[in-house]
Amino acid sequence: MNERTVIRHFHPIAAFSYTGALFVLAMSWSNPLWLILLLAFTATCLLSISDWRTWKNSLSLSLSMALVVCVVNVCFAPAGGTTIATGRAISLLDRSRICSEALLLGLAAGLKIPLAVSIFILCGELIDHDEALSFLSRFAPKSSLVATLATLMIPRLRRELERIRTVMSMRGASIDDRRLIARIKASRPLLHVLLLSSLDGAWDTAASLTCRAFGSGKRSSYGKRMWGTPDGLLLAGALLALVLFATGLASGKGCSHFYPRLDPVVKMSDIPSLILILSILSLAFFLAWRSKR
Amino acid sequence: MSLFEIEQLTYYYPGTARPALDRMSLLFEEGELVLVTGPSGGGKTTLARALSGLVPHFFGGTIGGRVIYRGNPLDGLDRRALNAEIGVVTQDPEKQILMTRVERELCFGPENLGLPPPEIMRRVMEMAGLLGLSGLLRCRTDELSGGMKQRTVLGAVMAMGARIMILDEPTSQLDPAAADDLRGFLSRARDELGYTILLIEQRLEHCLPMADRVLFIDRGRLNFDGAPRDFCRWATAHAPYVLPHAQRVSTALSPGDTALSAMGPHPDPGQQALPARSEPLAELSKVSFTYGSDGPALREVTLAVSQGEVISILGPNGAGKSTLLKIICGILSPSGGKVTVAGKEPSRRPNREKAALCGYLSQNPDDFLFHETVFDEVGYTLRNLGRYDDDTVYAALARWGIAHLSGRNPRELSAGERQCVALAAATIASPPLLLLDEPTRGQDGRLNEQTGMRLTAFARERNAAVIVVTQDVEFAAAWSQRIVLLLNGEIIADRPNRAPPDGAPFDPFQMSGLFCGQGMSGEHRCVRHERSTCGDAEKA
Repeated sequence: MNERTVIRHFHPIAAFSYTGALFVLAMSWSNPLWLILLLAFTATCLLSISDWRTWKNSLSLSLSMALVVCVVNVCFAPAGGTTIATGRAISLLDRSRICSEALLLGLAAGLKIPLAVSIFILCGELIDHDEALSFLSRFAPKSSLVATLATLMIPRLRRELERIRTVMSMRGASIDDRRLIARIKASRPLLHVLLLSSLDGAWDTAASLTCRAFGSGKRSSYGKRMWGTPDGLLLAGALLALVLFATGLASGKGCSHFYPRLDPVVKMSDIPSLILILSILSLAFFLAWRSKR
Repeated sequence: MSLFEIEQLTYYYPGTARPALDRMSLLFEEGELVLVTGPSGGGKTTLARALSGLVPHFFGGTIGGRVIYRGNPLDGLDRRALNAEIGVVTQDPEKQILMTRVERELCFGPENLGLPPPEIMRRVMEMAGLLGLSGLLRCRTDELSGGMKQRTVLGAVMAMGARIMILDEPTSQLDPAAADDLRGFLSRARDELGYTILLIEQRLEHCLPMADRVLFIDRGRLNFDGAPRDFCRWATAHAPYVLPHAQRVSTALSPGDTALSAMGPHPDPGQQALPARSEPLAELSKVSFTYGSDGPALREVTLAVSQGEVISILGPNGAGKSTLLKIICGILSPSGGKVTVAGKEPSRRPNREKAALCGYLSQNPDDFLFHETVFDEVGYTLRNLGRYDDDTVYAALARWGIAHLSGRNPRELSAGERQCVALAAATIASPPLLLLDEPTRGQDGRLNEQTGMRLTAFARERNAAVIVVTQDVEFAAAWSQRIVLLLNGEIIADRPNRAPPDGAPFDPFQMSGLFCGQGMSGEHRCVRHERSTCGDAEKA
């Protein structure tokens, strides 16, 4: 952990409120343009406080999932009235047709995946995991412990899997085979050993928890995170953005109707509302971040 | 009034017919450091569990007899009060660490006890200062070295206020320097802070001098309970394998014996046993390796291993020993230099050919075990290589002394037996090169001796080479023909064991000293690294 990570953490309430507001916007808006701008904004926030590597793998995975959603929607729900292209008939199916409505609905639905993933990563960057868990443990001690153990378990499982893979390779298992089926078959013992070792490990962890008096009665909390001006800025920005969002939602801002015929994606009357919400969110974020530094 | 009074304690784990503790009676006094030893699976850990209240409440099973703690039956005590007074540390710190940062780990127990935050903060700071963790409080626990992890666990238990510490082989996964450090701390905790310590250990060479009492437990029964000096005499007659070599010699001496120096030059067994050097079986030429963006793990390592040789590679944690083994067997490809085994480059071969060239034993024998029976487990390697044959499997089981266990589930065996299963599986294909990563970890002296003898026999009978990575200096001194010292990814010494005429022999004590010197610097380097990683250097 470097110096940057020490200073960038916010109070869990502030961080959860801010990322919660982003999440509500992402899930409620259906206008593809608004979603693209929201994704760009989230990406800017994320890249300003962490490096590209943190986001890279999840982004590529979520974008490919978004592409799948988009393609499936275009292929299997060509119900729109604006045909962009037509293809040949395939066996029992009718002539294939690509509609702009299906394409944009698929795009809007697909964009929610990278958006949600990016917002979760941003949340992870804004909070200190231990502080957040300590905060949550006041309300749900067992669930927060499970979350903590899961956080620790993932790197541990990765190390164990690497060790088991070495052992199995040196026992001649064909996990390096070029044929996928052979590779999957040869990988079965890996998962078997990993499962057995995890069960053994869980037993030891449970014994350790018992020895450390977990579940022996009411817990206290060592959490000592103080509420500061940056936290206030972040919370205020989130609340204001939510109020504007709710007001705009009543008049249908940010929402698109796709069927039977697509609404205009860019409505000039809605643009000020979008700019205002994103400006408030960015102002709150960058002021909070600046005062942290 | 004694701290603990154990009366006729008998305990059966669920579904077992043999008692893990068999009519055991003994007393523990406050402020003692009691060393508990005995063969693997003898009941030491079960005794620790009984004293900490885990048996039978957590593990189930059937218990008879009584454990009295400060005059009251242990099973009648409130669990929170019990946890606040008796702390337990086991051998694997990874499985005991529950939080992501050191500070949170230290305060987890006190939080569970419901202590007020100022009191928790006081305890956290006190323990961090006492255990040298002050500069690491904000560090991630999974980034700590093994020694620091074990200290963190110890601190976490002590922060709960425990005055009685039960430690089950706490040094078995540490390098000699970190282990020495931990033992030193335990001695101070007893002498200066008045802690009562129950220390379970297999390796006695460093623990005997600090113990007030020694218990020897075998097959669930208490066979010896007395002072360390008396234990040495008793063990010489009844269990010589538990004693360190030097202790065996000094115990056997009587006042009339001639001084060793008066007997003239000492014949050199290591040199006599050394076979004539043949063509190298495995050769490493200026091998380097780097993990991702980290610094080099290996730097221009050059090493040649001949047929019939047993070589030990020693070095502190993080020196690059395990990486070196993975490079030799071809799991990792060197970023520079060349590795050949029997004239082939393992990293360019498919797994089947790698397995035929090198046998590999990882640090944890459980990584091998997933079959229903020992027989199937050992035969798995042969099946993969397309050379399966029942007779070969039976022969391998007999060679490693586990033929009687062939129908048992390997996961239900004792640690030493599981190690033998893993060794049988690693050697069954008769590879010309055998690579072993910490084969003696957690084993008792008798098993160590058997492992050493079997490895030597394997090397001689099969004309194979054996490379052992170990922290066990005594094992290396007793069974290797060559000792290689690795530090910071570089070979700093490579000499025959016990023999060189240049007046610089490798004997266990000297090696241990050299090792500790290197290891301490390694540990300090690690602390420095952790501090700098955490950005807490200034604070520290």
